[in-house]
Amino acid sequence: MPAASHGDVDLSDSSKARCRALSQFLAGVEVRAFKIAQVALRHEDDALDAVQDAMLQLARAYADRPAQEWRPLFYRILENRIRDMQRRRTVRNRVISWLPLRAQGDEDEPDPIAQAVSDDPQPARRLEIEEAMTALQKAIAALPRRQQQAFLLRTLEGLDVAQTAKAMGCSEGSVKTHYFRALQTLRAQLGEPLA
Amino acid sequence: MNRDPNGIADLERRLQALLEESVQRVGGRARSRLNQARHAALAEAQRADRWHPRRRLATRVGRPGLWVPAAGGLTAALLVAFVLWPHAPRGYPPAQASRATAQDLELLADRDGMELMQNGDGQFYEWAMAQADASGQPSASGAAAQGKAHGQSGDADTGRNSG
Repeated sequence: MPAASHGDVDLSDSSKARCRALSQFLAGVEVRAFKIAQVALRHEDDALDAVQDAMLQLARAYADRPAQEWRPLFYRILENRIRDMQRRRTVRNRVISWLPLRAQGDEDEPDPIAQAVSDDPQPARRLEIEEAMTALQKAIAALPRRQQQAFLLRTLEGLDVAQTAKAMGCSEGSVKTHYFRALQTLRAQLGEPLA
Repeated sequence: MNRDPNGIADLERRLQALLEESVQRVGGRARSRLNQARHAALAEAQRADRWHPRRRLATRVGRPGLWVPAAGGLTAALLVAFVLWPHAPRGYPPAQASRATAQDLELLADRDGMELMQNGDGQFYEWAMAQADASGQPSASGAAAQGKAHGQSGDADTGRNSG
């Protein structure tokens, strides 16, 4: 039997193989994509929502495209989603600024697992890394959006210049300038991180 | 020749290591939600695949009643193509022309690139050339460096003179 039954229509072997490939692709990019969204949105749940929306959109609209196109497409969708959320947040903040102050205790509960005491054998070194990471994330968050995108897609996701250009919707030359600018700014702000 | 004259590659390595570390530290809650999101996306892909017109066509392709409308549709498409063909613009294909226009507009708006080319201390050129050397291909920035050497405004992408 060439096809397995799935609901009212059979899924062919090629469809199943595509789903497997898509699953592997998403599993490979999801955590980095989350970090990129988190740096841009500075909010964990918003970042998770953005990544989820990007995954759904990729699966819905582009799953039948060649697998090598998925990565730039996915990051293009994610960037659009991040931009939408930033705009919506700006509007929401404007509205909220007109409302009376929010009640205390509205903030999210701290994650008990994150609060747990670490049994790490090298707390001093970990603290040093922690501080460097915090400083780096702050510095990246302060970069202009296009520089931030170019830097994260190249450094964290490992996209090459051409893929980054596709994901950002700009020319390869622009990617290089944004990326180089970002590096210059980060070096000026951080010095030599963890030399 | 020093392939990392400004220590940029070294800086990149350090930043990359720090970012990798931060990825490793993403908590269980976030990972769990990402896992759920992935499964939801895969379900969506299967649903989309099931209702995709091509797929629906494939499931019906053996039915004789399908061929009549399909042949009619093909004839109509050929007729439309025949009517419209002589009016297609000459020169660049439309997709290529619009892409070139978009790139031109972007270049004209890219002030960052202009500044780097005109006021930079040469680091950007050295870095861009090193990148091109490393990839074994001429890069846009490499072309920019050549352009500057000839007294032009530089990179086709980033240094085009807008004034």
